[in-house]
Amino acid sequence: MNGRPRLKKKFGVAEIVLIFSILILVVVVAVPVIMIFLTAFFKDGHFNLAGVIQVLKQKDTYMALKNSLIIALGVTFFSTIIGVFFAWLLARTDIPGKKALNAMFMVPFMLPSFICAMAWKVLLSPRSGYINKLLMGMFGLSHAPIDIMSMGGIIAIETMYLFPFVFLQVSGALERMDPTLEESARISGASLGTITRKITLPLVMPSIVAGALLVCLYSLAHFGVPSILGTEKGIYNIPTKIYERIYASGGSYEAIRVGTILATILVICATLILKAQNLILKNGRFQIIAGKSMRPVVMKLRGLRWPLFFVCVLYLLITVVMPTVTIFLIGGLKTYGLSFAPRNMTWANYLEIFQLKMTRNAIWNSVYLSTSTAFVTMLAGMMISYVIVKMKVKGKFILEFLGVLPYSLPGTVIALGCILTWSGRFGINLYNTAGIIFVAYIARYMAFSIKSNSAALEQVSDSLEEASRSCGATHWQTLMNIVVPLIRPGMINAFFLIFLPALRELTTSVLLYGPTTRTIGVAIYALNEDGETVRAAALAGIALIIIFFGETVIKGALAKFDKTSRS
Amino acid sequence: MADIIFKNVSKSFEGKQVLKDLSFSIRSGECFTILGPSGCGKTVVLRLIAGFEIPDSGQIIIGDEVVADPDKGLCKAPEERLLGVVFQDYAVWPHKTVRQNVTYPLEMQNVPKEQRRERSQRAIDMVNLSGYEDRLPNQLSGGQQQRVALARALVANSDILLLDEPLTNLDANLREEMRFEIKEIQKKTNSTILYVTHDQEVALAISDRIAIMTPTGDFCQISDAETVYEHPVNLFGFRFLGVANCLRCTQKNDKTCLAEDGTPFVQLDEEYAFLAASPTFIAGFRPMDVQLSRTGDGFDAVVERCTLLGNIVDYRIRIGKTSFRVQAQTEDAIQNDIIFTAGESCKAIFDEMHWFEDDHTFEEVLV
Repeated sequence: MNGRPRLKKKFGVAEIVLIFSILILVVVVAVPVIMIFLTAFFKDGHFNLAGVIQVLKQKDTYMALKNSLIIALGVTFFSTIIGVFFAWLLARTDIPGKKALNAMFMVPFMLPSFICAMAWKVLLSPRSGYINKLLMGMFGLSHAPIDIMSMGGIIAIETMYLFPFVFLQVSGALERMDPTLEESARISGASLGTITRKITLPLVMPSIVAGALLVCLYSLAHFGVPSILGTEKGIYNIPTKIYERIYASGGSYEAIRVGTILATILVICATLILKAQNLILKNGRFQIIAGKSMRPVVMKLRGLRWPLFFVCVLYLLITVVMPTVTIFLIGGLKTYGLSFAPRNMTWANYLEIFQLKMTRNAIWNSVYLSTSTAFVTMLAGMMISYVIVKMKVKGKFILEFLGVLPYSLPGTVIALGCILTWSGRFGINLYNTAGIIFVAYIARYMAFSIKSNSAALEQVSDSLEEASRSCGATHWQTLMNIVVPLIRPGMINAFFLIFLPALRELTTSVLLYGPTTRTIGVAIYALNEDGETVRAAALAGIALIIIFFGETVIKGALAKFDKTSRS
Repeated sequence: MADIIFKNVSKSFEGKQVLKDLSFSIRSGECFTILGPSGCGKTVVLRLIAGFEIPDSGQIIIGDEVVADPDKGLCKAPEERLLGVVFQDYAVWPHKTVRQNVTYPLEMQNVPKEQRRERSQRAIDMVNLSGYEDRLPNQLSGGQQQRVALARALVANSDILLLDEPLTNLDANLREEMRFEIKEIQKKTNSTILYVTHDQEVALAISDRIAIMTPTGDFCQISDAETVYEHPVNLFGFRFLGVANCLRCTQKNDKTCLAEDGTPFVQLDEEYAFLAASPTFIAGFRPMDVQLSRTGDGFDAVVERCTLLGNIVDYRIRIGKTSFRVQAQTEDAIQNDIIFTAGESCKAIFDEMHWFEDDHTFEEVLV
C-alpha cells in the first residue's frame, strides 16, 4: 500500500534499499542462471543443440543421469515409507516417550549427511569397515557381507538423513487434521484400521507427496553422499560427474560447458518436481486443516507398545548415535585402522585441528562466510519479501519468480553459474576468493530467507503500516519502527535457516573453493579424499559440535531473548 | 479551517471503476458520515483523503491546500497530511504498550520530549484508559484496543479525524457506549470527523450530516440525520436506513392497488401523482408505521405470524396475496389487545407511506 508509486516522488532511503535489493536478486540469481543456459546451448554465438545431444550421448554422462534418477527415486521411496511410518507412530499411537522421540527424530536433520556417509564408510566399507571385519571374524566369512560403497549403500545412507522431510510434513498434517473427520468415521462403525486406510491416509496424502517430492528434489542434486561412497567405485551422479569433469580438467571451459548441460537437466527435473508439488498442494489442501489442534484418536498398540518403542530407539541408535560416535572415535585414533582401545586414543588430533593452518582457516572461513551470508541474505530477503508482499508495483512478478527460482536450483548449478558469472567476464573476478562462495551462498539460500520473511510479513496487516504513516512517520521510519520489530521472529528464523546449512555446506563450496578459501565441508571432504581419515573425522567432530551448539544453544537463547523483549 | 473538498474525483482498481466524478465537501467541525453497503467504495473515499490511495483524476482539497491533483502530478504523502485515522481493525501496534502507541505520533512529529508525556496522558485520559498505560495490546479487550487507536488519532490534535468502521468489531453494548464517546470527544476537540460505516444506527446517532452511498459509488443524498431518515430520496436510501416493507403497486382507474393481485391499497399521495404514469411504483413503509386492530377502520388483513421479541411484537401480515412485516411496542400491543394467533384476521392502518419509482434496487438484497 505504502509503496504505490507516488506522483510527487521523493527519493528516500526506502527506495534506494528497494532498488538495491532488486539488483541483488538480478545479479546474484538471474545472471548466473542465464549464463548457465547460454553456455549450455550456445557455442561461439550459435545455437548448438547438436553439442548438447553429443554430451548426453556419452556413456559416462548418460550413466550419471541414470544413477541420479535411480538414487533419487530409491531415496524418495524409502524415505516416504520410513517417514510416514514414524510420523504415524508418534502422532497417532500411544507409544511411550513421544516428546523425546519427536525431538530425537529431528536430529538426523542436523547431521550433515556427508559426515555420516564418512562414518558409514568407516564402518561398512567392504575392505576395512569395522563392522564388516567384525562380522567376518564372527562368522568366518571370506568376504565382507555388506558393501556400503554401492548404489544400494548410497540410497540407504541418503534415506537415513532425508526422511525427516517426509516425517515433518506428515506429522504436521496429522496433528492439524480435524479429528472430527476420523470420529465421524468411527461413529459410522469403521474400525481404526479402516479409518487409517480410508480416511486418514487419503487426507494426509498431499503432505506425504509434498515431503516425498522435497526428498526427491534434494537427493537428485545431492553431492556429499554419492561422492564419498560412490566416486571410488566409479558410481557417479550428476553433481559428482560435474565435479569430476571440472576437477579432472583443472577447470577448463569445455568441462564447465558439459557441466552446464548436465546442470540444465537438473534444473529441468527440479522444475518439474516443484510444479508437481504445487499442483498437489493446490488440489490437496482440502478440509484437513479445518479443525483446531485437538487430541486426535490414538491407536492403542497394546502388546506392541514397547517393541515398537524399541524399534524407534534402535533406529535412532543406528542412524544417529552410531555414526556420530564413530566420527568422534575415529577422530581420536592415533592412526586410522587401529582398534578403538583406550591405548590407541589421543586428544592430539582435535588439538591439531586448531593448530593446522588449513583446518583453522576452514573453520574460520565457514563461520564468517555463513554468518555474513545469513545476515546479508536475511536483510535482502526481507526487503525483497516486502516488495512482494506489501507493495503494489508493476513488474513485481519478476521478483516473485526470481525469489523462488533458487528453490529449484541445485547447489551444483548455482556454483557453475557463479563460476561463469564471477570469473571476470563482467569485469569482476572473484574466482578463488571467498567472495565467490559468498555470492553463491546468497543465491543458494535466498529462497529460504524470502519464504520465512514473507510468511512473517503476511501476518502484518497493511493498516498497521498505514496507521504509522498517518501518524507522520515516513516510509522508512515505518519500516524501522513498525515492520521490522513485528517480523523480527521471521528474520531470526531466516538467519538460522541460512546460517546452519551454510556452516556445513559442501555441494556448492566444493566447486568454488580456492587454496585459502576452504570451508569446513570442503576441508573434511579433501582430508578424507587424501586418505587423512583421522583428521577428517576430528574436523567433522568439531563441526558437529559447532552445528549442535548453533542449533540448540544460540537458537534457544535468541528465542528466549525475543520472548522477554516482547513482554 | 479544515474543509475537505472532492472535485470530480475518480478512482478505479484493476479496471473496476469505484468512484466516478465524485464531488462533495465536508465542512469544518462537522461530523460527516458516509453510509453505504460493503463494497460500495466508502472506504476508498477515506483512504483518498488519508493519502493511502491516489485518485486517477480530479482534485482533493484539505483546508486551503490541494493535497491530490493527478493532472498536476501532485499527491501529498500520508505522513505530510497529519490526519488522525482510526482503522476498522484498530491497527494498534502489538509490540508497543498503550503509552508507546499513543506517543508515537508525537515522536514522529518531533514534539518536544517534555510535552509528549503530558499530551499522551491527556489523550489516554480522554478515552478513559488511565491505568492501562503500560499494558500491551494483547492484554486489552477489543473495546480498549479501539480506544487506544482513538487516543492515538487524537493525540496529535489533528483538525481532521478519519474513522473507518471503528465500532464494527465491538459488541453491541460497547458499540453504543463508544458512539457517544466519539460524539463527546468531537465536542471537546471541535475537530472535523469523517465517519465511514454501514451501520445506519451509528450513522444516525452521531452524524451532523450523512451521505448515503449507493453500490455504484455515488452519493444519492447528503443531509442531516432526520431528513435522511424521514425523507429518503430514493428506494435505496429508504431501505438502507432500517427494516422496510416495499410493496410493488400499480394505478388502475385512479385507484392504487397492489401489483401482485390487484387488491386495493393506500391511495398514492398527490405529491407523487407523476408515479401513476409508470406501470408500477413502490410503496414503502417501516414496520412500526402500521397500526393493527381487531375491529374498526383499515384494510382487511390476515395475521400469518405473531412473535413476541421482548420489547416489541413482530407480525407478518397479509393483504390479498401480499405479505409484509409489522412491529408494535409490546406494551401497546397488550393494551390494544392485538396479540394475535396465526390465521386471525385484523385491520391495518398505514400511518406513513413513502412512494418511490420502481427501480432496479427493489430486487437487490441489501447487506
